[in-house]
Amino acid sequence: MPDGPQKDHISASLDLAVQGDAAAFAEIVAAHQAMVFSIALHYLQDRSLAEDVAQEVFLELYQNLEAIESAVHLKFWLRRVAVHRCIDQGRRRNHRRETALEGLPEPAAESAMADPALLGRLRQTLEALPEKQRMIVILRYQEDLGPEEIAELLRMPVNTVKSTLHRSVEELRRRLSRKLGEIRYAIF
Amino acid sequence: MPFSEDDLRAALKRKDPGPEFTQRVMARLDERNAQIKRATRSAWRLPWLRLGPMLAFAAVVLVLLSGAWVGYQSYQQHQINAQIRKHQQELAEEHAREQTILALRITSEKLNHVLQKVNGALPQDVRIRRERL
Repeated sequence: MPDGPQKDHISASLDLAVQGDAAAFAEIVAAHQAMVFSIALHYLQDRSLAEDVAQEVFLELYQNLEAIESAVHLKFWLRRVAVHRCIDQGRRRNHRRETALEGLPEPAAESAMADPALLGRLRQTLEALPEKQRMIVILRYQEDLGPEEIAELLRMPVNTVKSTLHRSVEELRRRLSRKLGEIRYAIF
Repeated sequence: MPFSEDDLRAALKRKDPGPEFTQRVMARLDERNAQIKRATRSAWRLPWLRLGPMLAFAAVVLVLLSGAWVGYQSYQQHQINAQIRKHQQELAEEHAREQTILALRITSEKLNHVLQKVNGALPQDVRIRRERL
């Protein structure tokens, strides 16, 4: 979540962008591009497709700037539109993948903190989850949203979000163990 | 395989699409705005292009309707004139018949008068013979 001054800055940019200031809109894009792009990337597992979806989300934002009331609303709106565009795109694509996620450059800090192979496998396994489960996991662990916020974004009951999240993590563990078992069997 | 929530957070850490991303979005925005402007400009011109044939069609329809209207009016006038002529002819015929009847009646009266005169001038025996006959 952006802190106070950053929120104020975004609010000011929002006001200017509504009046047609292109530079202000560019600032809004720059401030939120990682969030929108990462939702799309983790969901679609395809960099070029994710970038395309993220660009579409920002173009849609430009058309709806007048409807955005505040910096908080802007963030909520971007997440909601990104989520829906990803689900739409995922259905259209019909599970066709062009670029593997492992090809992406990872931040140096990540490999220092955790096993990069484990993280890669986690992302791969996440891809196998059903769309709603996958999106809930992304919103919970990428965006650090609580079940109530996820429920509001996805228009689902909070209890459904909680149970789905629990089931999704269990499913990830189960699938990851099975995958590792297959790898060990193949090696030995 | 055991993994913690932190592992999940690390796996799903936000990734920046790069500094060129904003430029690409702005370029697409400019391109779309230009497309909208072009579409607006051509939309301003397009109705006139489309209106040409429509106007021609409307003019043709108007000429046809006017022709039909004039034709109908002429036909109606012709019918009225024919009715008037027929009526006038009937009146003339009626007048001629009445004149003929009047002439015949006058002739008949004249002949009766002459006959009476003739009858008065004949001798008694001829009159008796005629009466017998």
